[in-house]
Amino acid sequence: MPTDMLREVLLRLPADELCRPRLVCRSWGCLTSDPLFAKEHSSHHDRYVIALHVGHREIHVLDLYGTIVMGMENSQLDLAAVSSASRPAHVFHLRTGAGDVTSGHGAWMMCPPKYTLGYVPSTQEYKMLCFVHSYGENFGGFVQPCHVMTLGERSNGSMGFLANGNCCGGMAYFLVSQEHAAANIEMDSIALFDLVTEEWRPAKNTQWTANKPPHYGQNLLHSEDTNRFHLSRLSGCLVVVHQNGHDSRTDIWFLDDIEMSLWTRRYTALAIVVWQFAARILRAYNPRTSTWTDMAMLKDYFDVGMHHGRLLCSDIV
Amino acid sequence: MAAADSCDGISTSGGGWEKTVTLVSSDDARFEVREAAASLSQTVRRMIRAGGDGGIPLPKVDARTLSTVLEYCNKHAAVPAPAPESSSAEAAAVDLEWFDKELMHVDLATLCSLIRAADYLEVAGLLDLTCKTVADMIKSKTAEEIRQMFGIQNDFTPEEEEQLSRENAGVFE
Repeated sequence: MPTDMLREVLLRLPADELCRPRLVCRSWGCLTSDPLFAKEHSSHHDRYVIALHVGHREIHVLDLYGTIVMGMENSQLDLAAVSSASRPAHVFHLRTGAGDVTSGHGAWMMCPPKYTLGYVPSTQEYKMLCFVHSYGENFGGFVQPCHVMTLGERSNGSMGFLANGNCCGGMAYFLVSQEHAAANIEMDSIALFDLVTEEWRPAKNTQWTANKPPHYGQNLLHSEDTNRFHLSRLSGCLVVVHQNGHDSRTDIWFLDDIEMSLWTRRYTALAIVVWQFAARILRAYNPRTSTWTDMAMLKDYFDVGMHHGRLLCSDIV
Repeated sequence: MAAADSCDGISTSGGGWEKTVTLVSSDDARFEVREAAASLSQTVRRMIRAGGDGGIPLPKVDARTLSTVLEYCNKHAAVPAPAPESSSAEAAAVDLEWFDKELMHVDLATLCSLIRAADYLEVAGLLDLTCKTVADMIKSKTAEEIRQMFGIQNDFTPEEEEQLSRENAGVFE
């Protein structure tokens, strides 16, 4: 079998199965030890979640059935941020398993802040976005200011923003749910924040190809409507997960072209994994059959996210 | 399949008929296929766009392999986009899964030609299916069993082999 086809086959083996093919011969050994192979392999198998154990205060890497998997060597994003009711937030190093870096967020708040980690390839820095739920003075209502910080440092300053965001390729993306005067961004659009310069990029009109998600752009992100939108990552692409509450059908929209803001709806063989905090259940959604399956009951964990940050959909249900 | 069969021989669109294209294998066998099915291959899709007549030549795929590839394409192109909240969507998915499973009941040599064909023709779904099938055959086999399966010579020295086993044991507990 030609090498590139053998590669395709071996990419589809789970990590713990790869140890024996590695011993077959030199060329198989070289192929599977290649860092590029490891990177690609992780994108085929983003089926692990990271979770903070309530009792042990340790971070665990689990498979979707709730079994703890240790010794993950193919980690692409080495760090995982977890927020908890007690601050400051811990950033865990996945290779060592140690929660060694902390980033402070001083004041006591009603809800624990949410953290999203972004990697800046040009400077090799990790930056963290911190969303705080609080009551704003000027807005007079419930707002979610967002702070950006470089890991190991104090907060770089508030972006004074409210959003549902995710990071991908040195950029942070936000679903805007309330108008932001300084950034001049429209409501219900997707805003871009450059993690390198820590500045807003001019917002572009979102183009949806094929079908536009129904009701999108009708100010639904903070309404009580049954449609939910959530930003996430899948196979290195930024995706919008749209969940329709009427028939619990879920679509995934891929950002194909950042400059053009071009989104396309695609069906993926991958199941969407959702963590339901209230019930502490890990559920999987199959986009091909539109069915839900309960995967694991994780009653001793909180703050569960996909390992590698490929698909992080916490609390969208 | 019935829909595909009834289209055979009709080369132009019109009325209720679907447009078809002719694919020519390396051993000069001609296959008349619905364009929708043939377009599951990105390679063929590009060739259709480029135009030309007298059939699309596929010099890297023999007739036997091509007919299996087309069986896959016909079946998968016939499936409409999943309709929400219908039990028929689920039934269609189950049917497709069963079809895929049946199609993969072949020996390793055939699977390897299918992988090569799927790669050359760029049929993403079939490439994934065939590679997964071979990966499943490799699963839980020892290195020696895998060598026998693919007819590979062990070119490691005993020392190297021992060292590699030790390293592996450290990685995957």
